[in-house]
Amino acid sequence: MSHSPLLSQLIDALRCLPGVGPKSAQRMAFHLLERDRQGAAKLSLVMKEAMEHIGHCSQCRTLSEDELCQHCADPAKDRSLLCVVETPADVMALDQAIGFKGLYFVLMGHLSPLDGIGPKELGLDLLEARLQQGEVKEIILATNPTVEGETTAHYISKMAGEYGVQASRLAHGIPLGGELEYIDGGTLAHAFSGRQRMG
Amino acid sequence: MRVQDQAAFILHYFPYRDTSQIIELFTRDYGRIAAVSRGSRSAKSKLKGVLQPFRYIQVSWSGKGELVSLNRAEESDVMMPLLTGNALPCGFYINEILMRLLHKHDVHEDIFNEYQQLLVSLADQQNLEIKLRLFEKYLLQQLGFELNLSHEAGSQQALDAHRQYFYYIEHGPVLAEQHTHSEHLVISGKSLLDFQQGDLSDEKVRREIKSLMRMVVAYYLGNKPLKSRELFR
Ligand SMILES: [Zn+2]
Repeated sequence: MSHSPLLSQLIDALRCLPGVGPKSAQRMAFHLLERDRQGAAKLSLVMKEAMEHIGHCSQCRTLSEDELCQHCADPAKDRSLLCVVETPADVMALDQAIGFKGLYFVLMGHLSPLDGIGPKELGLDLLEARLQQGEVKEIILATNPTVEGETTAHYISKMAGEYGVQASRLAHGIPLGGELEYIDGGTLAHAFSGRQRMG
Repeated sequence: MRVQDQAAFILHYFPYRDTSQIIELFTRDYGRIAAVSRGSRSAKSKLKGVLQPFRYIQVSWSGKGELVSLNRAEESDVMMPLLTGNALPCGFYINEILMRLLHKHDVHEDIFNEYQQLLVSLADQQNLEIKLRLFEKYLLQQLGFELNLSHEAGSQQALDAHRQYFYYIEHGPVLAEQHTHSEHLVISGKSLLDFQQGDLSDEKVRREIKSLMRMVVAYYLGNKPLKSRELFR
């Protein structure tokens, strides 16, 4: 038995959600129609609003429906400190973990030339203009510990150097509670090269 | 077809479905292949640290054709230094060239070994430009596009270090005085001869050879420019 055209459309549309295949999309559609029409109506309304109005902060590129996001608009933030991350989710993670008092710059990705993503695609011209203004004194590179994240951090650190801005990189290495023999060589090599003096 | 523990490097990878990846591999005995790696992007996957460019890995796969299935990947016992700093853009640059010049399934064991040596030598971040130029020269030669760096095009006349030449791709150097194509790249005999010897210690030679190789590589790559160039700062 096949579904009515509209129901098929709904199931198909739900499949754009991450991790949702045809089976779970069908389950979701039935659940919403049979048990939670109110919730679904709200979802569709908010979804429409969000898709229409959420853009990027003009200063840090994170997702925001305002010209300036809450972070960038907050006068209490230390504007001389800038933390560069790959995604808006990284901003959330860092904020919750350390309550960073400076501002963020969200790349929305990392350098990946073979995917056609170079400095311009990451808005690094925007970042450069910002460094040029001279307000930023220190830049913290919190890109992921992948080859691409590392390459991105390196590129930005050189840029920072050209404007006399001090750059530092998040330490990365052995996860808390990890045991050396179970850690892959790449991680170990990074941890080793980033070792710190004791005492 | 099943292949076990094949030596390989990752040239490129990109997300596929929710938690999988397509991995473009340069393998020692099977050349360039593309494989699906299922689940390697999930948060728990142990493969994340292994499936990184510039790491010497051993992979097992099954299937044939355009897209095989990666069954296993682990680090090889061969020690490879970590690429950092200025070596990273060089690594991407070479990977982009290999992705575009190597045809799938063409076996190039020698290039594979030379590539491994190159990665090892890039790691010290010294003389990166020289290493890239020499690898490009080697690569073109292995692929049958060897440069003519010793004689005038179509003759037995050896190059003169003190004269200027136009370089014609697929032919070679022609004395600059005999032709008047002003838009053509002019290069000294000394630069060509030094490059022939693998000697790029002279700065002027390096500059001229850079222009030469840029032109030659672009010729074989086609119109689309190399994106990795933007990473050099
Ligand atoms: Zn902002």
